Amino acid sequence: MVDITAILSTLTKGLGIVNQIIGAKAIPAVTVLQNALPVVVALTELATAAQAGEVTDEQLTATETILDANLDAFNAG
Amino acid sequence: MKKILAVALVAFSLGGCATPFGTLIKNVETAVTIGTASIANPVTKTRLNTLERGLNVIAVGLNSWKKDCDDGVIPATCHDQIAAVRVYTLQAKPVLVRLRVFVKNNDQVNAVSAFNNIVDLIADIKAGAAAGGRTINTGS
Repeated sequence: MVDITAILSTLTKGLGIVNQIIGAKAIPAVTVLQNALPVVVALTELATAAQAGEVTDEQLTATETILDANLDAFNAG
Repeated sequence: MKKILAVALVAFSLGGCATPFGTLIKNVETAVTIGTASIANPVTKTRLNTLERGLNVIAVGLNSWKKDCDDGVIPATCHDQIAAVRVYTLQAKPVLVRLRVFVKNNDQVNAVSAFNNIVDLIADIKAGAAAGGRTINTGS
């Protein structure tokens, strides 16, 4: 399972550093944003997947056990 | 005269393809409920779980139909109708076993093929049950 809290914490720290860099005018803001965009897109996808929730192996096994029993009962004739 | 001929032709062609059209609708319905897989839309464990839960809802419905049939609650022709549907459920079991292995090994090429095979079989099962007068849905 993806630890969404850890990702958000890292992202917040990263944004703080980016803000300092832009504030110091060390790198043009446009350049920073252009480089950051793919990262933001990837993180958004990651967060979406994490929120959707991945099934655990235990949950999957439980589903399979129930399905096998019901399917076998019908197939038994 | 031309209008009458055109209407008759349309009616004839619709009547002639009623069964394939019905199958198409069933396939679309199942695809919308469970979805189909592709390399761009891979079979994750979560998608496998969704498919299996949908198939389980169907299996529960089929067992209820079978019980009604065995109890004599519905006409005796149900035995033949259930046997016709069982052709598909018997095919589904080995495909399902292979699908689970493919997903766990992340063999997406074979997993996608097996997943879509099961989706097609679900449509056949639902269509077969509907032909026997039993409406069975996959749920949400």
